[in-house]
Amino acid sequence: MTPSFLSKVGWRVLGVVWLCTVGMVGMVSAQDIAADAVAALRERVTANCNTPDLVGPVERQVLCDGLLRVGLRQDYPRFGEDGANGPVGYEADIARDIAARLGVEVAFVPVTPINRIAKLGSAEIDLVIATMGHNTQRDPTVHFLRPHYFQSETIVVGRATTGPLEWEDLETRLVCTTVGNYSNVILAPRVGRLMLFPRPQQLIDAMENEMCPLIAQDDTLLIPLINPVDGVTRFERKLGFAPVPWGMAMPLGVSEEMSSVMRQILIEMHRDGTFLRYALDHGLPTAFLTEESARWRSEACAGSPQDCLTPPLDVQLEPSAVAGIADLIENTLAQSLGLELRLGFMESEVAWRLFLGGLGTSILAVILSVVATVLLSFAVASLLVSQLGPIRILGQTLVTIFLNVPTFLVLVIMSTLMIWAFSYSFTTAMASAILAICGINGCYAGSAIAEAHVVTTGTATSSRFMQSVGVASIPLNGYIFNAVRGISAATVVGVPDLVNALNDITAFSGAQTFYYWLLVIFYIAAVLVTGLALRRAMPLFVPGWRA
Amino acid sequence: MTLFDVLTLDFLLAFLQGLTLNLSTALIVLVTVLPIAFVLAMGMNSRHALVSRPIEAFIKLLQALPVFVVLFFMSGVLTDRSPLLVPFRGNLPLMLLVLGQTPYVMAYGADQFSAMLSRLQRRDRRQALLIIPSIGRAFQMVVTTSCFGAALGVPEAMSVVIFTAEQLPDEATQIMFYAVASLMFLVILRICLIPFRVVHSVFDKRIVASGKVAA
Repeated sequence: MTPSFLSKVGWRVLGVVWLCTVGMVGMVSAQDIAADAVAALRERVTANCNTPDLVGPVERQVLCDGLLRVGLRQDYPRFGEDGANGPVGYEADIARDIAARLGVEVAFVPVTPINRIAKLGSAEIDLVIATMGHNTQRDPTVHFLRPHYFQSETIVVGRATTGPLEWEDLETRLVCTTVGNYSNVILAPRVGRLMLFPRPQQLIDAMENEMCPLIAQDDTLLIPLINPVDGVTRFERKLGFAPVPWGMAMPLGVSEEMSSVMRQILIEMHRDGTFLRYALDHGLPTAFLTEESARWRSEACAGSPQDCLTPPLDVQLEPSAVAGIADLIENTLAQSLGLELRLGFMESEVAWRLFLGGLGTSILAVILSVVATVLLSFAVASLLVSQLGPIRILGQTLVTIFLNVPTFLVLVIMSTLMIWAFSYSFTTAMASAILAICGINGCYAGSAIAEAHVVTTGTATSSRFMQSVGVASIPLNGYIFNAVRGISAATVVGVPDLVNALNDITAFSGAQTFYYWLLVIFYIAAVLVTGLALRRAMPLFVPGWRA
Repeated sequence: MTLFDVLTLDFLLAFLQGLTLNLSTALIVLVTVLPIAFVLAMGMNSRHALVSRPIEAFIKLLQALPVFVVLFFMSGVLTDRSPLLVPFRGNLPLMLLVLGQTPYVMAYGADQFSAMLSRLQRRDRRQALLIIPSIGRAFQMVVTTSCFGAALGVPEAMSVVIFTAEQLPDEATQIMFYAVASLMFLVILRICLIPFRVVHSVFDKRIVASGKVAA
């Protein structure tokens, strides 16, 4: 037996013992309060079933018609799935239990994350229990019921054969995740590079196909990966962060009386260990529910339940100093051109900081790439035109290697050499990217200068070498442009440039297409500005510069 | 794990399997994009400025686009439900690589064809034939730049190299492994150029021979 198996069995035994011993204590009083509340509501509502003005639509539907219509996901393993006799899973069990406590029948309505709130609004369902995180953004759109019935967190999963991971280790690592997660706000600034996927299943496939060494996603989605049915654990949880409480919800405008009854039922389900039992039945993480069960049985929460309700997760990002300008631009574009544009990178402090950092790094990379390509081309040309045979052979070898190995491989080799010789840092990442991209273009340009060297003799005002540079100025100009464009690939060795920054911002704010257009515009502008700068500056240093 | 533990037949087969994606990308891009590039080149060589100028500007714009950024753009925007996927029989990685390389090859091809047309106008057939090695170089470039797919989750040859290197214990061993991988790429890329050189040589000899007969 493996330690992880023992640990799993141990937790289950502890959970059952916990339920048997402490669950019984809180059960009697809690059940009484909830049952009394249900009875009182039923009495008032059923007496007025024929008087619609005196009864809210939800109460009438549930208690007069005797049917609780629950919106449930049917595509979420262990929470809501299709079974032989109707939906099965943690949330399906909870829905049946709540209906039983209300003394009504239950009808399940399939919902998705996209339509679950709309179906509540259109009165197609009375209650939604559908893996819905309770956050400040969503809170005003429906009537969330508390206490929360589950809590998920984002976990970073890697191969079980690799060692443990600390947050500091992520600074140099590639982490794959899905677009649009709130937790990416925390993840993005702390990892070397994010690779984004549209759907969680693609993420899991990428991990299994060895494309992604680490993936970050909601723990409930990764349970099958880290606790597989066959018991062979290939992947494990390395880190966890960003806990999100899950709430069930009723339509806005539901009466305080109905809401209070539901709250009593949920408190009761925590106190008597119902939530914990269902979680154990479906192999879900139980740390949160164990804690909640103990909390709701405490005297403090029994005496003042309202004070024990936990708030929704605050997902409002701190606004940036230029958020007002972003709003102004967005409103002006909307009013004058009817253009709906969201400048997410200017709205929050974290996104604006990432954007400015990326922009600064990219501008630095572009400047360095121009200078380095010129210098390296001179160096390579000097080797190629040397009068010493061994030095010429060295130059030829360099050119052959740089020109026949994929750019990505050259980048990776340079990066590995740098980390081996020094250690990973911004400087080493930038230096390896510059050496790789400018090395390749410098070799091409150096070869062009060396070819021109054959047909030049030097003039009275310039040396033969500088005259060769002037003759080769058109290809040299082209290779400098190539380096400027190519430096965008520096992100693959962890340079926190604009590609990296906009990718990170996309990870939590969506709107991929807009950010990618920004990137394209930046690099086109970089090429144009470089062209202008070369046209003005190079003739000062190179006589006969014609480009 | 040592260098010799990873340099196995399994690695070689996985590498070659990944390489088929790089090579098929290069073939598809050249076959589909070069005819469009040829049409653009005819437009560039047009005597009417109204036709040639906009096309030249368009080509300059395409030349300014970094291949990595275009690939990155495509990887974020394209999905496996995209209608564009139909001609690629549902193969999203292949579609991503092909569409990502298209702007660059279109610009490069248009430039090369434009030069070829100018040489033909000057009746310099031998110089015009240089289009063949130029296409060979384009093939080589597409194969090497498609290796960026490894950074975007595409299972091509470079991704096999990266994954295998990650299993090695230290940077020194990884560098030795990368040296071997570089050699493999170098040999393959040189081999890729051979057919283009042979075809060029055959046609060049024919032109030279026909010139002698005419003389």
